[in-house]
Amino acid sequence: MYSVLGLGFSMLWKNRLITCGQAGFYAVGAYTSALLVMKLGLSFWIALPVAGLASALFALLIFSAALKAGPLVFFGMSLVSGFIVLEVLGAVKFFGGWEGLMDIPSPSFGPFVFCSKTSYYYLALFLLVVNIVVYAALYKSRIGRAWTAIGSSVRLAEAQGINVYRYRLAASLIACFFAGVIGSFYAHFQNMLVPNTFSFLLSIYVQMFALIGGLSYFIAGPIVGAVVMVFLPESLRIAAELQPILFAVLIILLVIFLPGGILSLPERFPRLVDIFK
Amino acid sequence: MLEIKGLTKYFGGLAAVNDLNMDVFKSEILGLIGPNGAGKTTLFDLISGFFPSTGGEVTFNGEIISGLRPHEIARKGIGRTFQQSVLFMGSTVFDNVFTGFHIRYRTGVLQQFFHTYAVRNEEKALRQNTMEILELMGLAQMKDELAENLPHGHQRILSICIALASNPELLLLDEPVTGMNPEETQNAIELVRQLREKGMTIVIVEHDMKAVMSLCDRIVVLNHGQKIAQGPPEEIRENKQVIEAYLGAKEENAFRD
Repeated sequence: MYSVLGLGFSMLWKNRLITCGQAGFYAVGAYTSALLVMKLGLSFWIALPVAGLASALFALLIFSAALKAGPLVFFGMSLVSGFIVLEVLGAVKFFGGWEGLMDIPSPSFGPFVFCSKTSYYYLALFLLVVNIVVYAALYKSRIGRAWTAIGSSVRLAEAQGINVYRYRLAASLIACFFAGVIGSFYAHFQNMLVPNTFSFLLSIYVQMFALIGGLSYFIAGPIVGAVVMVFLPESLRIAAELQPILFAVLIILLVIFLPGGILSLPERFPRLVDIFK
Repeated sequence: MLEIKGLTKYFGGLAAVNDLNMDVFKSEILGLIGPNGAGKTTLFDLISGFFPSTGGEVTFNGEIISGLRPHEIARKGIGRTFQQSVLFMGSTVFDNVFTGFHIRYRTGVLQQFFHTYAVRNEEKALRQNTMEILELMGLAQMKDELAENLPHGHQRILSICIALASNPELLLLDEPVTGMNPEETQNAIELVRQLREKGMTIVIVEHDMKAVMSLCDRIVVLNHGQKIAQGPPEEIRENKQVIEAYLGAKEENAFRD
């Protein structure tokens, strides 16, 4: 689940765009889906893609102007959008207010209802795989090459005829679409939504997934990072209040000693690989 | 082919290019020279759309291109290189050129996404084309090197290769031989000549007078954003005004080298 958010950040980073608002788009997807199912009685399987589209639409609204002004304004707007979403969700009664939405129905497939942890696990895995397949196809195509070009040198990319604005916008819409889809999954998995889940801290965590895994590994990086970040605190069994501090220390150590992320280990220490061979 | 009429660019109160009129003819090599700060690079940035102009217009093949965005102008068939070696750092020499093909793809986004047979064929052809460009420019042996590991001279050549990938009709080269040793310079001059023989039109900004004089059919001299002379190299060499602008009328021999 977190991997999907991390992948979105990674895609934008490929365009040298830094987003601080993945949590906001995640929330848009989650609430859209929950409300569609609860108020309109739609099936989860329809609400899932619609949640993605709603999130992408919200991204279009926010970023179509911001990207015209450049990557710095994009960064700022992504930050602001996260806070706006949070405040709106908390303040408006229709969205359940700060207490949140309760009793969101679990998805069912024919007679089969997703209720066990395992079935949710497979559903999440399926969504992640779809996400990976789509991103891998994009990265392999000329679209991915254009993104790499933009990330490498905006001026040269423009001189070669790449519409930088359009490609960056496309990347942010796709990233937000998947954030919305996974938000929808989260809503029905938890059966309840509270605005504070989608706080700014989550957006920061998303960045850390990509950073820990390795920023230059656009697909494997965020996945490895998310796995490490989720399992590490559990295995250490430390208090939730201490987690941010642990992560902060971890990030500082990582940036100093391993700026390429976990996946750059074999490259950085070739001898380590030899030992395992 | 390219007509520039009354082109003006102000940076604050300073005119970097001031009411400039000039033409570029098909299949010529035009040299653009002038002292530092004469507005040569600014002119390139104006033609290729990186700066909006303050006034005047640029026409390319009968179409007004001033006011278009850089990527739109690239699509019209104008390629350019930059003064510093602007390359796709972190990519190999081969990928640098391959990435440059962006506007040559004919397959649509959906076809690209599903990596259809047509896309594979197209990519194969473009890969071949990449090798042809690298062979033409003498970089074929270095195709797997990272761009940032190339020596300076080869980086300058690589930046031309990238520009060639979009198959431009008009190529703007910003100081292509600056920082090269005499041998590399001679090689680069030969390469530019070859490009012209293939029918390309080339405009060069360059400080290496020997290179400009031997390469160009025609030279335009800029000073303070204005054209002070134009003509074949022999004429420019003897032009009093040019020599004054350049050297404060001191070392007349500099042009003869």
